[in-house]
Amino acid sequence: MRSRDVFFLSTDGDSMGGSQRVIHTLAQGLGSRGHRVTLISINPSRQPQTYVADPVYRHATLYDTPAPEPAARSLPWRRGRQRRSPEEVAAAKRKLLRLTDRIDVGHGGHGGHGGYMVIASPWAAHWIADLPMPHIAKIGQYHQSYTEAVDSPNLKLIKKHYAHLDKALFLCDDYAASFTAHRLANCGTMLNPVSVFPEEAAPLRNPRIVSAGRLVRVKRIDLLIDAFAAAAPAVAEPWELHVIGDGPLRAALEAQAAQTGLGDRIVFRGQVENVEAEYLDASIVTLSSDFEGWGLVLAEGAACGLPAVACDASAGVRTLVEDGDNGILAEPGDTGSFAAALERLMSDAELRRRMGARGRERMRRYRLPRVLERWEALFDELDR
Amino acid sequence: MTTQPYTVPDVSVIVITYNDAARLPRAVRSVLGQTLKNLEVIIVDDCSGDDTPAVAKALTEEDGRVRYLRLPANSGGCGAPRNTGMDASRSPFLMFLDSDDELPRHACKSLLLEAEATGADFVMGTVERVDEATGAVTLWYPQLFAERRVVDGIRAEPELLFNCLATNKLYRRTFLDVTGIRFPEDIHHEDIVWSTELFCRSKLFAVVPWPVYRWLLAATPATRSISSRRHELENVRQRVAAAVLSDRALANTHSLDLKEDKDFRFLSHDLRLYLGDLPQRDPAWISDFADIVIPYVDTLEPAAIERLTRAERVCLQLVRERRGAEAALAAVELGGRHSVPPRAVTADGDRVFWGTVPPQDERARSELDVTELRLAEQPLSGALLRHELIDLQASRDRIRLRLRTYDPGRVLDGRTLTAWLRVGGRKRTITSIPVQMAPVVIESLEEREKKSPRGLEGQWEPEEPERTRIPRMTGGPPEGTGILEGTVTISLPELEWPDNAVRPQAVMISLQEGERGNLRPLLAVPGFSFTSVGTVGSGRLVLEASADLPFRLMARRLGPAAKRRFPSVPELWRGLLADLATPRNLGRFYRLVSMTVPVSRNLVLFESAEGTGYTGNPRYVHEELQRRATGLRAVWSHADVPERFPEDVGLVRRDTFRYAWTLARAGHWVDSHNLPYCYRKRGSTRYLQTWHGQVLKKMGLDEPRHRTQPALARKYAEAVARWDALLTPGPDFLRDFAEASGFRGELIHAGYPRTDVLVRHMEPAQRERARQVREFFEIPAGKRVILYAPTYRDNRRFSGDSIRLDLPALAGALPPDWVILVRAHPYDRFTVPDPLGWLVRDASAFPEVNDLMLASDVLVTDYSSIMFDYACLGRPILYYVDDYERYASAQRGICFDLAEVAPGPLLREPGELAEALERLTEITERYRRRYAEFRDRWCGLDDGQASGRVVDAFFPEVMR
Repeated sequence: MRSRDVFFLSTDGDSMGGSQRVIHTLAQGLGSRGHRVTLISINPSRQPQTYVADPVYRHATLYDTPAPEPAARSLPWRRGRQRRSPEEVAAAKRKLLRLTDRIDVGHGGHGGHGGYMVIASPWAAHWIADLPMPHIAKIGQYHQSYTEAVDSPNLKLIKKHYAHLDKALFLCDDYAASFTAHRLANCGTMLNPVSVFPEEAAPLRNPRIVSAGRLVRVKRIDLLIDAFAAAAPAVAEPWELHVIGDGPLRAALEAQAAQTGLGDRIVFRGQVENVEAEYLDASIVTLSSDFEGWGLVLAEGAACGLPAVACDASAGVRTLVEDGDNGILAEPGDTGSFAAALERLMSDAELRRRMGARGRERMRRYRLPRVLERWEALFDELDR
Repeated sequence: MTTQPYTVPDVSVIVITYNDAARLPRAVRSVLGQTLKNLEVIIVDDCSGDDTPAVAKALTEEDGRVRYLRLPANSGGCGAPRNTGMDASRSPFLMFLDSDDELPRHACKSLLLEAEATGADFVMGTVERVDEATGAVTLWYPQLFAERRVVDGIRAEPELLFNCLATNKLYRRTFLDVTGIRFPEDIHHEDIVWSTELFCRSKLFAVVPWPVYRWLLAATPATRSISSRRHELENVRQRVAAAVLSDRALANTHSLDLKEDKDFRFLSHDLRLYLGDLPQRDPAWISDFADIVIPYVDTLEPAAIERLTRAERVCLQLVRERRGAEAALAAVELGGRHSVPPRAVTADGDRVFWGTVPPQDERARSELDVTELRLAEQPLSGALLRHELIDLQASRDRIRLRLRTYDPGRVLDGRTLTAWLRVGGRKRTITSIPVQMAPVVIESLEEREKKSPRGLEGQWEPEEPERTRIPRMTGGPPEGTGILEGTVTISLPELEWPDNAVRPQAVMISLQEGERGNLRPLLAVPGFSFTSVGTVGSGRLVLEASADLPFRLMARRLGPAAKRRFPSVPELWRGLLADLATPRNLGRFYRLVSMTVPVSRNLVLFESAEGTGYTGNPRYVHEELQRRATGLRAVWSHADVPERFPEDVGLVRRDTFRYAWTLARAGHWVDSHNLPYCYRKRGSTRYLQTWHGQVLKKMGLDEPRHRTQPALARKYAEAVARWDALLTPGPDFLRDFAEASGFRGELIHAGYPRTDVLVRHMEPAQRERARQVREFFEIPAGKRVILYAPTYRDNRRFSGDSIRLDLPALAGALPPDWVILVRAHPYDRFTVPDPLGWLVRDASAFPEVNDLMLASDVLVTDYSSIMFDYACLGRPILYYVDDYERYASAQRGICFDLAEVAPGPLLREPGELAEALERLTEITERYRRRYAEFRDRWCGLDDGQASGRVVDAFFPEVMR
């Protein structure tokens, strides 16, 4: 296998976020497999996260200062947002060209590229659209759902910029097909790696349901609490609901939980250090969001061998949970069907065991080594 | 960068060329620049006489993947070079490219991956047509390639026979070898034969939606390729020969069951190309053309001819009868959006035929029958008129046009009309010039001789074939004759032409009778030459043929505007203010005024539907205030449409500084849509949000965009926080809207003021409003009215997509006593398709939707909140929801299941709708209970007195 030069380019690669975690995981993985990887963030982060303790990849930022924030709106005549000066932009773009220019062109034989640039968002593709880098194969990735693209400027940007890249990658086949319907010729699917994959699956002995995510409206924890309150009395075992995560709705949700009369069985855990341990202690994972492009929680839960109850919120969710196979899908926003699904799983240990095992099986192709193989196969495809 | 050849390339691209050395490198480089690197280019030169060998040699030296082959003698076609290239290629996959075209960058790689993934014999994709002069891109038969799919043989989708190109495909080598398919070498249009055989022999092929071939249309006719030489009769002969060979291919592959589809392809694609050109040909040419094609056409399946459009059938029959001049007249608007009628028709019983000659035989009777145009049943808006340009004289600063309008349905008789020559698109008028039009009588030479023998009166010119005269006046308006003539003079120095109108603009004739109108294109008569006006107007205005419809007249301005007058000081001031009126500046101005100027307690600002009209809840609140004769002063906001408001209300134009000033001064705001976010309301103003309908779809913070874009949600929440009171029509609204919007203020449980007139529909005032609507839309007595009012689709605004009803299909299925009023949502558009004016009226721009409801007998809608208002009338409601699942899920989502609560049936096919209308009483009976429940749930508060309650609650200081 030949060693390649791979660049990950994102507008904000070191802040907190799901796609950032994926990029760092991939960079480390490809680096460990002998590729020369550089992770380039256009803007430095205000609150940089450490995703990988001992990176085997280079790391660079193009601007010296974080992206300007919108100014306070105190006075009506103040400018809303400070912009970067043209000199600053030009310097950052020169820096990117220098970073990618040191590549030994033609390395690796016929048709090989001087490098592969994975562009993490349509905005990053927009930012480099005017830069000549003919020796670099460019791959645009989109980490959100098709619906989110349609509801934002991203669809236009993808049609404008990704169409000219060597490959455009989406989270699941369904999203790729939606973009193909816009007559894009280069769409493909790339799975996100699931970094959690314990040796042993969860024993599924604790009567505990787990949910993880920020406590904001879209996650519909209120629906989850109502559904749990409706389902729990019908089951003999004393099931608990553990809500992991924090957010603006926490106080309201705690009040709602207290009102159900099951206050002591609904536990708000806040932020936790080790999510994997939480999955291993639980027996059911849930996702009650009205709207979710993919659902990392479901992927990690399934990787730990948990059966899932989820709202059928998008094609991304459906790729992770097949109704009746490794979990049960409920109508989005429908407390009744969510409660029925919970009750069914809570009262049937055999069903939990079977669905949990299927989920773990399903997640095998999302394991990091498999995903890295797919990336290498993609590089081979680009070299043809 | 040089690249060495691979051992086995993945794809061979065979580039054929003949005397095209200038463009060959462009074609070859488009292949070398492909994302697929492992390929070879085989240039096959059909023995060119120019410096193609040298150019090709240079290309082979530039890149080792290029090979060059030269035929020993010119073959005259594309077949021999392509076969030679096929023989020479070494790859498992093949593609063909012509030297004047290009491959888009991903073509080879994307087709190769698709072929490998599907195992298909060949993969085909979309063709882009690029006009080299303008750079405009259109797609060739895009609907054929709309979906990515694998097809199990042509019988699964016979319409794919229309894809008769050899070039937009990637072929599997083994498939070609096993079947032995080759190009015929002795004819042109060889790809028609090739494609027919290809489709008949393949059991599995794939289709992709993206462009895989770029067809470049040369700017100058001299460089046009074979396919564009349609004026040569030899080209016609070749086309027929190719069709005959295709028939043989069908027979050889045991595919005669596909004959009707293939015949339809020939008629509607191959022959149609020549028919479209007929207005440019003279009758002698058309006669020779008929001699070539008609014997072949007469061997085709009659069912294939019946699948043609009416205009195509008429045109073909006129060619068959050697009525060349009339065929040219019939072909003028083939493929256009409008139905252009004949100059005159012949009636026979209840049938109506093209032209002045009655049909001679049974075939002519069936082919020339234009009864379906319903010429005499059209209202003014749908009248099928034929506006012809018959003379044009240009001087240095003046263009004089003479027009003749044919009205074979005699729709214009007895109307008092004004006529305008209108330049511009449907939405935007560049300029509008009055035309003097009057009925005329056209007399042929024979008729004149009959009346007054030649030479007696002296003034007749015997050489003149025809002559027009104005009919004798008998007092009163001039009698209609079915033909009008008029003249119009365009004075170039006075012509206003905005600088940003750079594209050619349509020239249309607009006829107006009061508020009603008819807008149809101005056509040139066959044989009319545009070259004579090419430089008319000393480089200021050019009248020319439209690029795709050569007999539509277009106007275009060349060079700068005539004379740039220096604007006056008030004009400059107005322009400056308009430029400065950005939301941010308006917001600042608003805050500045509210900090310094006190509020005026008795000033009320009304706005409905973003200023688009005097309608909705705010209107009825306003009228209630008027009735009570309060001291309050009302000002209405309008979005540059002052004509839609009554004359006695004060107006302010939206998004201006005066608007910001009025908002800052007003003590009350009454609005239905959420005023622009830039005005952060001052504390002393009270804001009544009436909203504009009850909710089916997800609203406010429940909308996906607000859930996924927190910044947007924050802005929305700030805007909602301005509302002091919100009108609620019922408990569902409370849950699905009031809560979803995050509103915390006062709730006025009063019902909707706008439904008052609907509840009280039996009162004389309301019956009068209904009568006026019927009169305005020319709805004949005895006809019943369907109001079709669908809502818009998110992300498909202004696409016309919300009009789901297949109106032509419905026209055939509907009982005869119905008329359809189509009310498109303000976020979508609609035009009545020709010739359905007799059945359908466009009511989208009608100012008051309540009046449309009052005038209708049944509502057809989908997810629009109009259903909740209409239920107040108690008249039947039908749902046409062929995209229900998609709307409920992929769209923004809905709050309740329509199927469970709807007060009428959910229908998905035009046939179902027609049947439901036929059995309307039965359906009304069946849904009686559901209808009552629906009214209880959503119209519980609507008792005809809501306006009064709203005013009591929000304007407590006002006396009853």
